[in-house]
Amino acid sequence: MSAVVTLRAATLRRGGRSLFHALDLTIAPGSLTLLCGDNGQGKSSLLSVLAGELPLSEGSREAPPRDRIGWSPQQSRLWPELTPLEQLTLLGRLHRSPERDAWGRATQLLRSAGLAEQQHRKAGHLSGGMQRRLGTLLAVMPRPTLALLDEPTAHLDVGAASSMAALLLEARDEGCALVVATHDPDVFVPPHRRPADRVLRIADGRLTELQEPGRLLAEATPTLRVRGSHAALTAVGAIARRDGLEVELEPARLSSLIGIGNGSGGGGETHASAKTNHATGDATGAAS
Amino acid sequence: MRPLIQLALLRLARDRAALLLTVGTAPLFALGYAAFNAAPQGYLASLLVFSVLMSQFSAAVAAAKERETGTLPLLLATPQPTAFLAAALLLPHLLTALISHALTLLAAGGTGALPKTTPTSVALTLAISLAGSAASSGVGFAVAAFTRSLIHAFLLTSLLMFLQLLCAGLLFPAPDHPIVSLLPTHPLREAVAGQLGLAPKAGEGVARALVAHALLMPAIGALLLITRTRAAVGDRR
Repeated sequence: MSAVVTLRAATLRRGGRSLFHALDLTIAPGSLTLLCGDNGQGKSSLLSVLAGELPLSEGSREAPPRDRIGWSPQQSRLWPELTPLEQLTLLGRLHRSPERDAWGRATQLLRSAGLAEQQHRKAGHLSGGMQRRLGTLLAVMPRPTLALLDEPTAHLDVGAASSMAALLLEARDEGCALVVATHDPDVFVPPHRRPADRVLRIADGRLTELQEPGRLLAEATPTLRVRGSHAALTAVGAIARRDGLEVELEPARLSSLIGIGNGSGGGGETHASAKTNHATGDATGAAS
Repeated sequence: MRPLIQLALLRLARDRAALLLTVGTAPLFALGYAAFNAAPQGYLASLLVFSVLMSQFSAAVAAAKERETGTLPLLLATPQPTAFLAAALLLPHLLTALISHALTLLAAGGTGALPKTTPTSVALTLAISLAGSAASSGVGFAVAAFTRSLIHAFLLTSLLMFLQLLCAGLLFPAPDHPIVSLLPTHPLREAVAGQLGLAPKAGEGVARALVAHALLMPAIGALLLITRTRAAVGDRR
């Protein structure tokens, strides 16, 4: 299988510091590569190198032409005066899609991302999370060969993050190679995983491939924050159990983790915490 | 080309505050100046030169902002020909300049500041001012190409505008140095003043300089902006 993008012996030094050293990376077409790691470890810099925006200090990069790369950095690139529908449609047309096709794809993407109701509002008036989603849509709109997405689910609620993940996985299924820097790998990993998909961890200038994404989940100790009544918490627990998670409510711990407001039928504040254990036992985490 | 034009026009129309300020400053000044001065016609050539320099300022600031926010790299990552991209960058500034100069001449005519002119000379004044704005926008693009942020572009273009105003012979007699004649404001003021009957008609040399500035400067400025932005995002086409 030919590679979409390849880095060979890639070294990046910035400000006298080596961000990564002699790194080799190959991304296959139609694959999902999740790039995880703590803040400041070089996830965004690696994406910028893959996008061609940061020149390597040493080594080589082979990548598709710029117009075949969809790139959504952390700071979304939007035209604030235009509506989401206008900018997506115009971007599609600038990439030589017929007007009708561009409009059709734009409306479909906006619907999938939960932005259909905002499609006629100026982008500059949208919330940060909505702008984030629109930035991601602009990256995948022209059906690129390679899409590089920096934290596409950051600042999104659970539902919106799942919708974005589903939309991106659909792009992968259509043949786009996705490289996603994320602190929320669990949004993308099982049950959506494919053989060519990988989870990479960047730390101390090195990339490590995680064979079992579950290990990553265990290391990441994901925390789910839920705000609502006791009834709402019970409902969330039921959904989690249905998905194979074991949920254990620990009312005494929650107040130290989060403050939970009054729900519709609660009548007074409810505090509870929940601990989840993956059904297979390869991941543990705390959900509250 | 059509979606590029559509994008440029939509963005121009949507930012109403910026549009009104760019288009309205010079005409409002013309009206205000006439209200407080009995014989105001002498100011018009200077005002049109100032209005032309506004194109440089707005082009530099708009392009630097687009580089900084990443919308210019987004546009340059589309498979559109460079010439189309350059034309789309220039179009909003030419349109606002055309409207602004036309309104300025209209305001001046309405307040009696065009006593020695014919419709032809007013139309030629408009064309000369528009040519000046094209050249001025090109200088603005070049400023944006060589600065790293919006604030740097703002400061550098302010400095250049100030120097051009000083060297244009508006406030003081124009310095007698060959380099001054290379500035777009130099032939511009001469040509505008000649058409408005405020000075002897400009010769062929001035006309040639105006045309050369109007064609070369926007092309060079836009090309510099595009190539330097592409290089900055690793796209060396």
